[in-house]
Amino acid sequence: MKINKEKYMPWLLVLSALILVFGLTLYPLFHAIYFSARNTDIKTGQDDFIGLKNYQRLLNFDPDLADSVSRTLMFAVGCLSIQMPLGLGIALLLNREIKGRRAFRAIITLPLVAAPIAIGQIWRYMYHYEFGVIKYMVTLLFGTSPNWTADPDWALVSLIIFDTWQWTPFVALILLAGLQGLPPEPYESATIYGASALQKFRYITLPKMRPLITLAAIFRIIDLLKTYDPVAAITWGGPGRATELLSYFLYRVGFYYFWVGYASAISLLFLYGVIFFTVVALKKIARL
Amino acid sequence: MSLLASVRYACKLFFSLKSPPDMPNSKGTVNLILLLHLILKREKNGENMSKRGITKTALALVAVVIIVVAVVAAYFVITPPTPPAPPTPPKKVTWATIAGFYTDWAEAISKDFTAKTGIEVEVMGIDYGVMYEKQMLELAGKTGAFDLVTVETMCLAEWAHAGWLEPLDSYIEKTPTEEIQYEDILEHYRWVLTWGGKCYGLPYYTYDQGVFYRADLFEREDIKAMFKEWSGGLELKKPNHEMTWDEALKIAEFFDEVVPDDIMPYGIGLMAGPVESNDEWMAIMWSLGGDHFDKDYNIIVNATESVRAMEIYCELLKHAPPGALASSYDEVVAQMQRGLIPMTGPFYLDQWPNHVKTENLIPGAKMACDTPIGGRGYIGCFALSIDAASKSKDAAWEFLKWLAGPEGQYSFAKGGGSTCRKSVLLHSDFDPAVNPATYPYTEHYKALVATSELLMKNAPAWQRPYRVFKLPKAGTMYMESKITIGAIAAGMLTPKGGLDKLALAYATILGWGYPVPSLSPPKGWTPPPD
Repeated sequence: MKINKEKYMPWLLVLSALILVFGLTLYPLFHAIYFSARNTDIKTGQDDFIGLKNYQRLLNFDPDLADSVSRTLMFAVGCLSIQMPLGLGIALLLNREIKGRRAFRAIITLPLVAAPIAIGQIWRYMYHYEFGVIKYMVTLLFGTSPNWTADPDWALVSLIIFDTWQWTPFVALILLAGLQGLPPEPYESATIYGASALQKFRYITLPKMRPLITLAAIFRIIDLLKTYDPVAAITWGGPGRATELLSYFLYRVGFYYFWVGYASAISLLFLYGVIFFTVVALKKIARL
Repeated sequence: MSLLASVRYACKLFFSLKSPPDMPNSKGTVNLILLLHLILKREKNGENMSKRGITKTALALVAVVIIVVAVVAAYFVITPPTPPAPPTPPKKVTWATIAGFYTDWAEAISKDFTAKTGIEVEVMGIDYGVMYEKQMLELAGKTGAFDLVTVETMCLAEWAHAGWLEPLDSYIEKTPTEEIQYEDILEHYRWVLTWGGKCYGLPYYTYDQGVFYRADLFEREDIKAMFKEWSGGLELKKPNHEMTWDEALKIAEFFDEVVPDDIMPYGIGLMAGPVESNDEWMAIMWSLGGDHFDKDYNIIVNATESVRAMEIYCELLKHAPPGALASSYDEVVAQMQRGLIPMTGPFYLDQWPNHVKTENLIPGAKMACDTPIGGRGYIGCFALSIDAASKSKDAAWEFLKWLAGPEGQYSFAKGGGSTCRKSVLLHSDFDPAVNPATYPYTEHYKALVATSELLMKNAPAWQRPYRVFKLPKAGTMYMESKITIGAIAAGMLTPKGGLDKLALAYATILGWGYPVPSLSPPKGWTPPPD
């Protein structure tokens, strides 16, 4: 009897990976769904089925959750509005034949390879109100400096600056790959017809780069919505709740209060939100 | 024929007890040999196996079996099987403690203990910021990963109520008095580490609050004269339990706004960051007569005294260095060492060895510490408890009683630690008046003893000293208060509004009232035992 290798072999080869994926992703997901319908408190041993009450609670305007969500959206918009144009600018620069391009390209990837928690600890000291280097340089330039991590108005900005420093190179690298794939012919034609650099950028580069820019933005938005490390390393969610982003709020609910059910409900709703956004955005890219 | 097909064919033959087509009347052993042969040496090109091939395989198989049997027999003849050893008690305990906090001492003392008893101690350092969660997860999961856990005052009730900690009374009773000297432990720790009438932990490190200040500045005649003139005739008093918080606020304002910046730029050091701000506010609240709950367990954290305490705290913040809202205790120590502050708020007395370094860093500086302003401060200690799921409870107790006992605590004090035992705190070896060499490490010991006596003397019987620590939800409430107090301190909430919010949060945590939280306990609610 001949065994149909072509039918079974691919499954056999991906079996170990499937087990890993199921074990690390789907199983916790099912567990989270299970707990989201329960009132589980690890500390007291309480574990009652309560149906949709956890969802009811978070949709009935839990003010702390609402604050965290709005803060997270502000953080994401703030980061994106700086990282996308800056990343594009860096990519355009690296796309030119300039001296030291290769070295510069290697240097800008350094923030990406560092662990956010470790780097965050260093940035915490860089933001120090007395001997921090950032405060020193800003004072040199502007004569005064905000109290970065101790001022509720500036603490979120300090996180935005950190995230921009770390992830703009990521945007730049994605866009650089796109720029390097652009055909030269339209530019040559434009040059012949007397188009300026700005016109070339506006009418040729930007339209052709739109799918890649959108893709880079999607990657960043998904990452920004689940930002946790900088908060844990630099501000601990403070002052007060000024930098308590959604992930940190979830951590507090899940690991300070150990309200497992409520934390599971929040994380699931968050997951649905991200999936919905990703699907819509990818459909948009497909149409471009 | 492929390997898989060969195996399937051989299995089919074997289990059907049929002979292969070219070998009639051969079953059983031959089928087994055939199976082996097919697995080891597959047919190629569709040729049938030869009888010679099967015979060769059979002979090889028999030879292997004979060799194996001979070797095993020889082993048992030369080395007769020894009876299994009786089970010996485990000789290793795992101790979860704070990373980077007297870690060298912890490692050294563990080695001493091992040399003495043969019980190995594995010291697991955990960062303080995540120690609560990490230990909770292991305790809740009943993994027994840590035989000994480090418990803080506000989470003992929580863990004891959940049944995660082993009661120590039977161990204490079995232990000779001179080895444990339970009554020697400061009284308020014996009280706070007992729950439901049972002892669940023994303290090994204290961080009770007192106050630190620059004695040289408070003794300077020009500064005293300046204060007298500015305040309309008041004397500049040194901070201690006799000082009120209104007086402390006045002094902070004086140093910040009147004393020239080259002498003292700010008025007070505060740990107003996300980690310890609630410890400072609680000390002020208690010294004003406020509390989280009243005698009948009604939530009063938003009452007049608590709001006034928060207002004082916000006023004090105006005279603290600019980074106070991001500062932890080490920041305040650094401010003192850099000559930025003349005094601290309610501050952990165990930090004396760090504060005293100011005397080496600032010419003419003289440090002092005393009982907390207002007479009440946060009581904090790190205690050792045995995990109820530990598989090495007896060995864990041996280490616990040794570490927290007189010998271990004496050794700890020699290493510069802040012990919780009265006999060690008042020992002449650690009295700087008798033994000046200990001054950098033990000057605060007398303040620790005095603070403990003040607490037990001045606290109403029903507070003894802070009843909130007896609530199983104390840990969660403590975490919640960190955030709210930090938000009020940062100006994001008003004192009254923020504390109203905190009161409702307490009610939610306790599960009192649904959907509207109630600040009074529901009917039938049982108060926690002492």
